Amino acid sequence: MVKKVQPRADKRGQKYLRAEDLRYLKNLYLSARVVVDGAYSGRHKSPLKGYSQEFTDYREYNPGDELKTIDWKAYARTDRYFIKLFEKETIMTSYLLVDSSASMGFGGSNYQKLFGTREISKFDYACFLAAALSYLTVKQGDKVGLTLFDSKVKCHVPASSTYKHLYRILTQLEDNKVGEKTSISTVLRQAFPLFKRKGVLILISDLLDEPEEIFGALDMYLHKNFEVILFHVLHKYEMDLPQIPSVNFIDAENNERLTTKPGDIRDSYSRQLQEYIDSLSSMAQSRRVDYQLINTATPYQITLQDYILQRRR
Amino acid sequence: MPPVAAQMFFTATNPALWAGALALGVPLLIHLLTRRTPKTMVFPTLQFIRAARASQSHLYRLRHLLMLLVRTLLIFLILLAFLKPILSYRSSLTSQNNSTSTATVILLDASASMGYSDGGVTAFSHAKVAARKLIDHHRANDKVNLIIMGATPYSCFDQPSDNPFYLRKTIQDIKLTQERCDIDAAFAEAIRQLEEVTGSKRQIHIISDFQRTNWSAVNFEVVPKEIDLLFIPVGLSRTANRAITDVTIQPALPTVSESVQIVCKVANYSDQTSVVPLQLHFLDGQMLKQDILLEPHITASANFRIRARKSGHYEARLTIPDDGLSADNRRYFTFDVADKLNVLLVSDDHPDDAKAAGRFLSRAINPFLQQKHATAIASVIRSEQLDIFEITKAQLVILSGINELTREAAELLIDYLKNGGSVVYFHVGGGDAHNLGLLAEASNGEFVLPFKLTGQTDLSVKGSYASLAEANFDHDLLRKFKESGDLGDLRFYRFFSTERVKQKGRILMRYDDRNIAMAEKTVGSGSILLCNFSCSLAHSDIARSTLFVPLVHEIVKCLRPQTSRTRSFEVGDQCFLTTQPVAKDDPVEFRNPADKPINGNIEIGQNEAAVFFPKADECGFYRVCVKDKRIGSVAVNINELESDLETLNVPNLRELTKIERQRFYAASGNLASLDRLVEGRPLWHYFLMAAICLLGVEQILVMIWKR
Repeated sequence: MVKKVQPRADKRGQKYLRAEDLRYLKNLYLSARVVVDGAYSGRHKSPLKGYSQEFTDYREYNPGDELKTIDWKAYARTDRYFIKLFEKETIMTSYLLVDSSASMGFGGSNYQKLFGTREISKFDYACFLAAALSYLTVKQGDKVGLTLFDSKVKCHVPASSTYKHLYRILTQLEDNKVGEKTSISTVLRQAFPLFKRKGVLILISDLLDEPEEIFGALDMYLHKNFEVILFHVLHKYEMDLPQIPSVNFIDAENNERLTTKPGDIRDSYSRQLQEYIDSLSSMAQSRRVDYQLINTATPYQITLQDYILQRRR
Repeated sequence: MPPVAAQMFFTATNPALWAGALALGVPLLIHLLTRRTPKTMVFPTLQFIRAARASQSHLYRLRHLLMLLVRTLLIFLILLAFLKPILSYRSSLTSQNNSTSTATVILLDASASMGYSDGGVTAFSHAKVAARKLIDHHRANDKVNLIIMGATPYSCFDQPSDNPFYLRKTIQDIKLTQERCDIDAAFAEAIRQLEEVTGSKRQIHIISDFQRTNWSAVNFEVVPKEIDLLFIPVGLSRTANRAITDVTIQPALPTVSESVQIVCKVANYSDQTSVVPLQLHFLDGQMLKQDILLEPHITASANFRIRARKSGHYEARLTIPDDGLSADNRRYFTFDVADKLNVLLVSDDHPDDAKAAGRFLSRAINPFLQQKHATAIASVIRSEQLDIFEITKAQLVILSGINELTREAAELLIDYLKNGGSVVYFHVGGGDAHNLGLLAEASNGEFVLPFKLTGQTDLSVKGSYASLAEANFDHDLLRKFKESGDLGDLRFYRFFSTERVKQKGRILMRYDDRNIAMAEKTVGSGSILLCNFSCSLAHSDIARSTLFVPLVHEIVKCLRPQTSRTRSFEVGDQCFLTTQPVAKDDPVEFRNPADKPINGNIEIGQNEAAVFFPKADECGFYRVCVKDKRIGSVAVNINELESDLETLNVPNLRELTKIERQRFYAASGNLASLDRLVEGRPLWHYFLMAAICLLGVEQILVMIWKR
């Protein structure tokens, strides 16, 4: 007797992009704020002139120009040949850099016993966010690439705009595990040659590095006219220490130990953290970098929706 | 006012709960346990925690220590509350260990003022309860005695005893007296008893209303330093008492048909003005009444004017409506009305001397041939016959032509003067200079002659005489002779030459040679009239003058005692009186104010009888009767000082006693205060309250620090 084996449904790629989340994303549109380089026509502004709906200027006809570009109405008025120039619209290339260092693992299922409730980890949150952004980008015909890193680049998926490519990104996210200590600036420098065409650099991280180092590395991208978006992901128990009488804190990345009562240092801790956030925010603002602080307590759909709506304004 | 105490001791009445002190370790234990079991957490932003800890750890460690302290203190306060602690003020009074016993004498004031009540129970009832509490509080090996302070202190035992049962029964049975207590005697007895006790702590507990009038004069320095004093005031702080405090008769010994003025004083010791009906009752049922206005804290006087129709012994009673202390709302008094005034004429003139002064004076005092018409009669005696019996019967003593007096006679006269009697001394020579010096010497400085005798003037040798040149007509004695002008016609042949001693006595008349003819000097309550002349025809012609008899009568009238406080005994006194002699076979009966027979004693003499009553224990008339006929009586009242109920408070007592703080204890004036003093002040509720407050503080601190 031959046992009939039912083929198992392939669940890969659905961990961070669930079907029920797509309805939140269907009406969202991520656009670049800066002009981007692109070989293909698309929705985004290009420094080149081409064919599109948007008229920009007239110029005199030169031999070699296509005749269909001559504005015959202008010729009737002026008896000279002018051709109409249109703004070229091209596709946007988004480069997602997702931090998968050890610190991003905070708040996952390992902490359920400690906190009493199941909380999402920062890395999962970052992956949800990256998946949604990838989907949005691919959906609107733009290219998206993914780079996972901790102290170095762990995985790089070059930019593409197909759904197959999206699937690849999603599986990479699922397969990844949080790794070692963070070194964002090193990684940014390391990844710079990987991003050949200028576009939008989206860094999703807890940014636990020296701000000057981070922004020093980002300056390279800015110099090359990249648009940089920083999603600073912090867990809700990082923003407000948990209500536990006494805790032996262990550093996620270097195993340093420190015992204290969260209640005693709550205010001071909050001040320290806020100072750090403020310094990041001010440095980002000075470089015209989009800085978005994200609390894992807020669902990523809401966070993304709010961010995109805010961007449109 | 809190009780004044020398030392305060903290005692737990529930000491078994000291085991609960282990609970003090609970916060510390929790503190240590929570420190030792931290939860492990891998945390990304450790650098911020490190920085926060670096800046906050000292402060938070302090907060933790403070919270630990607060919580430990909270448990400690709760533990103290459960221990039921008391603050004992008497710990040094009460022996702390069983090996040391205490000997205590309780002085219980039973004077009349303790009977005051403002509608509730009397101060004496409070005092009995306080005494009972004190006795109940003493332990088996303590010795206690009770002395009831009255006119004479009554001690239950000869010395402090360990038998409290009799003391309790005595306290139950004792009745309030109407006496004034002899505090010094009571203290002396208490000290004597305690000095006989050895090996014990010694204490005197005084339960009284601490009337200012009674206690301000007490000498506490007689109390040895080894004896502690505990003062327990039981008097009411605000009293409203009115009292009849005094009755006087004017003149002191009225005669028949003479107008008599009865002056009574009514004191108002309250803060209220009131009009009080004052009634005067006589034994025969006659009653006089008048209203008297009493201002607050003022003593007012009221006069009743009567005229006695017949001579004899009168009993009367003054009353005002009863108030909180009824014993002083009535005052009993007696007075005598005489047929005629009795003048004692002391003269050593020869009986056959027709020109002698004594003869003229005697006839001038009673010019009538029959005694029944006389208003005054003279009893003529010689100077050596002068004794206390003769002198006490007389309203006036006239000395004329006497020989040198004995020292005893001089002292007798001075005593008579000091007690309010009056003496007229006609002196011209002989032993008179000696007598005047002797009188001055016997008075111990109270009698100083208004003039010095510098010699003797005898103008009869020259056939000359002296006349009166100056007279003080403002004096009652001479006022009536101002218009007649006859005084200047009198001739005086022999007298002492004098020199005025300034500011001594009052000069009434002077001769034309500036020598003093008549002077008056007060001695004690009485006065002596010094006449520097004699009524003898050999020395003056005053006896021949028509103004002689009026002058003598004016002298008698003016010098007789004008005012006399009515003779009254106090409750607690042994009363006595002198009365007419009775036959030895006559049945003599002594009666108390309730008209019940009591024991008494009578000593019958030749001219009079002395009657002695037992100790008077109530107000009213104590009478002696023969065959149901009253032959004498004395009035007994409470001491007027008992009526002033102003009390000394604890600070006053502290100041008054001048004893060191270690020996001075006082309750603040009510039984609750005594309970606190004897049993200690319970403190558990204070600790509980403090614990609740501390809990509130802890919660507030937690709230603040959480924020």
